[in-house]
Amino acid sequence: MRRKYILAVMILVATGLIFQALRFYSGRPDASMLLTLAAEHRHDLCYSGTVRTNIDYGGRTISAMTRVSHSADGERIEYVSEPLSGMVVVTHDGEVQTYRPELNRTLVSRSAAATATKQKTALLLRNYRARIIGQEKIAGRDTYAVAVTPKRRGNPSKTIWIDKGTYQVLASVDTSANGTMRSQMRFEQVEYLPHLSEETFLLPAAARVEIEAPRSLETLRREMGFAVTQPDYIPEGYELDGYRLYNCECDCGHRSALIRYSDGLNGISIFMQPKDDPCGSGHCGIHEQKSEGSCEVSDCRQVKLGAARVGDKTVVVVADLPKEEIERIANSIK
Amino acid sequence: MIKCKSIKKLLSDYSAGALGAGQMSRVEEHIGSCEACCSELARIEQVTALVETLEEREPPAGLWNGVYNRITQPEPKRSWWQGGWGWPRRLVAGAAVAAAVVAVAFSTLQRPASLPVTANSAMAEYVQGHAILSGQDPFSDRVSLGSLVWAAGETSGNP
Repeated sequence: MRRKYILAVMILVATGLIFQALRFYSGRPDASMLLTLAAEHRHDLCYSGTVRTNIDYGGRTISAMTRVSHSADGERIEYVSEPLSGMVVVTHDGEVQTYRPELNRTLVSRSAAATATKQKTALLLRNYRARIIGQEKIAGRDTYAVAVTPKRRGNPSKTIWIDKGTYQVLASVDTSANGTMRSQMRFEQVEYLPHLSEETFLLPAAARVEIEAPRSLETLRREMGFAVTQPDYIPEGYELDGYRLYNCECDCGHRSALIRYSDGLNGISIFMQPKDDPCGSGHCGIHEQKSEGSCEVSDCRQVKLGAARVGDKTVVVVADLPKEEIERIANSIK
Repeated sequence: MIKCKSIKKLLSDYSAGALGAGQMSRVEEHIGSCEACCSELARIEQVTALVETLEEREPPAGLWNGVYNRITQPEPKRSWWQGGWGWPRRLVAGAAVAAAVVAVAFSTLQRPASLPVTANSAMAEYVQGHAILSGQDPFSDRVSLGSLVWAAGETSGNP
């Protein structure tokens, strides 16, 4: 009896090994490996192309045509269709600069380090399943379609089309936690180049607003003048992604403490500011008086926002999560 | 009472002269002393007289053939499902109704009430900040996030 049991286990293991070998030698890659290669190679690629994008914000679809240039030195995304025409986002020298021509202003934030990319990819693969669901030609290039779906309910999902030769992401569709399409992008044309000139990363002269800067928790508490604390509850799979000081875009001096969490694909941003401290320009902040303990959640289709008053501060939780999770996070902040 | 009930059943045949001698004398003996049965007999005889005033009509041609064909046609073979409202059909129908009720209840309980979709100035700053930081994730759609930064800024009514 025991011999038969051992024999059955050996046959099962052998079958699994044969299956894996067949899959390997058939040339079809592992989906997780594809994602890892896509993340690793992103910084090395040098190309120029046109990308079409659609997003749904507040029930309104916003379409844009862009010219994208990318190299190891950085990236330029230039919006060439109305109503976003003239807007440029440049990632270069550790900064992400968003030029808004209608405001004559450039918003400045930090770009992610390469090491962070590796850690985030590993985090993504722990929290999401990846599987190849098809093959398609995009911008004249052969790609694998990879579906990235959450291991835990209540998280968003994504489908990514990865170039078979260069591992570049040539198209993607983001689906929110409740199953609705949030945004999509697709390369219509792509050309691989030996290099990009430095002029690629230049922006028109405009007022610079440093919109966020990394901080330690102690520094943040000192600068904000109140107890910046992590929530007692964060959904499983999310890890702390850092503390930041967030400045109002209109440069009025209004500031928020920002705690960010990520699960590799989805992020949670928690803004904290002193209560009764709306932006002097009326541009941002919670204008209405909120009663202690109540969390009001609103949905703009891209994310949900939960605003609550907690002691001496106002808290705003921003994430693509179910309403109940947003409320739970906000209500767990002391 | 019981006698009236049993006599009333014989009144039609009595009026038609179709009863035997024994039954006829029973009926006559009873209606001689029972006003109700006597009135009933009078009503029956009135109806009979009325019917007799009607003209005789010929049935339409082929009526009998149609009846005869329907009588003599073999009965179609019925599957267990078609056997009228027998137990198989009732059982399946009952199970389907129960399953539908459970499905509706389950979906109602499971699905939380959806929030209305809106975009206003109060949320703009936070949506922008969240979008800008989301661009740091390895598989973020930075092109779409730029559109989101623009869209949120538009609703904020930037000074």
